[in-house]
Amino acid sequence: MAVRADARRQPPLRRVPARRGGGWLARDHRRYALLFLLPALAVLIGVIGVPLLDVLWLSLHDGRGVETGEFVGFEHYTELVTDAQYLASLLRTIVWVAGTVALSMVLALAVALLLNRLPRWAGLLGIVVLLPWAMPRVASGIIWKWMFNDQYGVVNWLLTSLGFERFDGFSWFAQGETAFVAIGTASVWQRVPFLAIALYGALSTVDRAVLEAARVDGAGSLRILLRITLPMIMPVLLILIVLSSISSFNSFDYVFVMTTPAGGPNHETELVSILTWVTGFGLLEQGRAAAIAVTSLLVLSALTAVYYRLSREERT
Amino acid sequence: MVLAAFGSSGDGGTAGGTESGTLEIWLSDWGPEYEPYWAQIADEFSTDGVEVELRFVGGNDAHQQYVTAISSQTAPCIGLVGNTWVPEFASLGALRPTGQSPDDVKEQYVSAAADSVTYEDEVYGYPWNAAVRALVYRADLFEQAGLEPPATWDDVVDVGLAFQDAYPDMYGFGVAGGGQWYYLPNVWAWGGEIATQDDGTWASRMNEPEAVDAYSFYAGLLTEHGLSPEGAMNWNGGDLVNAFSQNEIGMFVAGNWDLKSLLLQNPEMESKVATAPMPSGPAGNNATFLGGSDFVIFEGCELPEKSEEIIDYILDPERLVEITSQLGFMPAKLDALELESTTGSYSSELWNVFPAQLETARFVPTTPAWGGVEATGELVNALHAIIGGSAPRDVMDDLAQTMDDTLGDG
Repeated sequence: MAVRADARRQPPLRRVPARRGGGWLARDHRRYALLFLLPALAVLIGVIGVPLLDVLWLSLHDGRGVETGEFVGFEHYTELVTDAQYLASLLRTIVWVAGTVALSMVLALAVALLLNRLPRWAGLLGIVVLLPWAMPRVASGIIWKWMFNDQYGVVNWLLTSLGFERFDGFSWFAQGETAFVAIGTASVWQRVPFLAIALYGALSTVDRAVLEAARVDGAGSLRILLRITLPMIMPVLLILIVLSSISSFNSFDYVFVMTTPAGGPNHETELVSILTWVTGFGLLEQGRAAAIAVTSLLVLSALTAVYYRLSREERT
Repeated sequence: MVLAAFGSSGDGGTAGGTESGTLEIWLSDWGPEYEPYWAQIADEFSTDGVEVELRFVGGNDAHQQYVTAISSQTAPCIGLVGNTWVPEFASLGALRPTGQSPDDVKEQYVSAAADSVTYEDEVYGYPWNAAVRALVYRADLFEQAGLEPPATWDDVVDVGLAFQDAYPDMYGFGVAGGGQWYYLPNVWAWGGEIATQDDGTWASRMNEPEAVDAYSFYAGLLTEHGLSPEGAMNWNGGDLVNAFSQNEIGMFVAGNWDLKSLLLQNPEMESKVATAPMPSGPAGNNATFLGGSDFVIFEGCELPEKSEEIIDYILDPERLVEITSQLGFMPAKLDALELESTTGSYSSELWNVFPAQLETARFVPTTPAWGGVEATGELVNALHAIIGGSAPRDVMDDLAQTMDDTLGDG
């Protein structure tokens, strides 16, 4: 009865003619909706639910290789809290996410503003800009690795030609910091296109009349950008930041392809994703690897919750 | 395999001719140049109700494919597998013992290759291809500068520096900091051991002084002596071949396959290169790793005798040398190796160093967990840490600790 009382208080979204004792469809439509949803639901449970539970289960065991191993409870998790290697990789990943997301958002915004200024060229430029995004990351990773090669790489050649002599034969992958510069460049190059196109879409929804009005009132370009354009696209901007943080946290391919051994030199580019891989497929410690994966899942779930919230606010 | 089950005439048959069904051979060494050879073998043995099927199982996931096949009991009859996988597969109970004694095998094959098929005093395979490293240098430039190839690792430093004095645009020695195979054997040359088994338990010995010194010395080639560009800390075999062919380095440690690909890509180099044995370490030996591949017969094979027949046929010395000479690799079987190095493609002065080097070649520790040790990347990370300036002792203590964790899983 309570439900009915509620329903009466709120105006219905759409007026559905109430037919007392109406057709089977109206009476059972909830049940049928469920029936029609079942196939999709089964697939989702199969491809997401089951593996997820499997990883959780595995993380509570001392699995080696293909064996599930003995049940050890939360031992892997309590170990992780004090594990220097894990904590270092987590910190590294956070810095990596912050750095690459900030840089790619700024660049993407610049590209989007440019596209917005050149509406006639936007179509063509859009295609050109999308190319890096469409390229397989392993392939582009190998190309970037070559471009940053100490002896034959075009990056060192370019920097040396510009007068930076110290880059003659400079080894980018000899230290973690410079290796991250190389990997980060590749990663930012890859993700800017998608962000730029999305931001361009958002920019085109900004009412030109508002911008005109501001200009008439004497506002400069920078002021218009900071006070009008950015606030108006803020919801989209925030959603993109969250989405791109999620994908940045999961970065694996560029580090894997560009460093020797993966995460090297000497663990200095070891992100959590790489550590998970090394633990699971190098050391074959499946249980511990599963535990690391679950901790990553928690971080990503938190980010996803933020995303969900933001996108709901965006719709209303 | 289903077909084989129906076609098989009981428990493996009494004579080779009574077995029938499908006989699968999985090969990891492949390429257009191998195709006619294997096609001919398949034809030869596809008779009397037996059909030989060939499958290429190569690339980075070859190991994974075998492990999956073993756990789902769909492994082939014959596999030509990387020799470091044999102890692992044997420990899983996946391989059929050949019935030979380890001593017999030692007499027939290159010693380290015999080790590769021996697991816990039982023999599980037939070594096919033996691969080994030696020193390759620029004979033309060495001669002009009046230099001799180094005989010891200390000489590598002296000769390398003298080479750099004579050719200021080049580096003296190609360091391969990204490829553990290029410096891990130095632990033996320094008188140490990588890992040894005691009372059935494997333990790392990489934190003993010999191993620490061997690693420090190799790091020093780069940091102290500058015998390679800084980026060489990530170099691997392919990078060495590149650098050498680009006139960037004067000498490097090269596998016989490295030299082969160098000359295939740069035929003009043939008149400029020469080879010398691996430099010796302070312990007086120049031990190096044995690479290569072994034939194994899997436990579930329905046609074991036919499989043995095929392998015997392939390993017949004259027939074997025909293919090794044509394709330019070394047979692991001693009678064939003898032929290969006296009359085959390894008989020339340039190539003769490799068969000789096989005598001092050693096999990786024969623990099933060795693959895991390699896969962690820690053997490379340790060198990188020393190059990066960390205290060698601490680095090697950490390495030994990680290795022990992994070896304990075996």
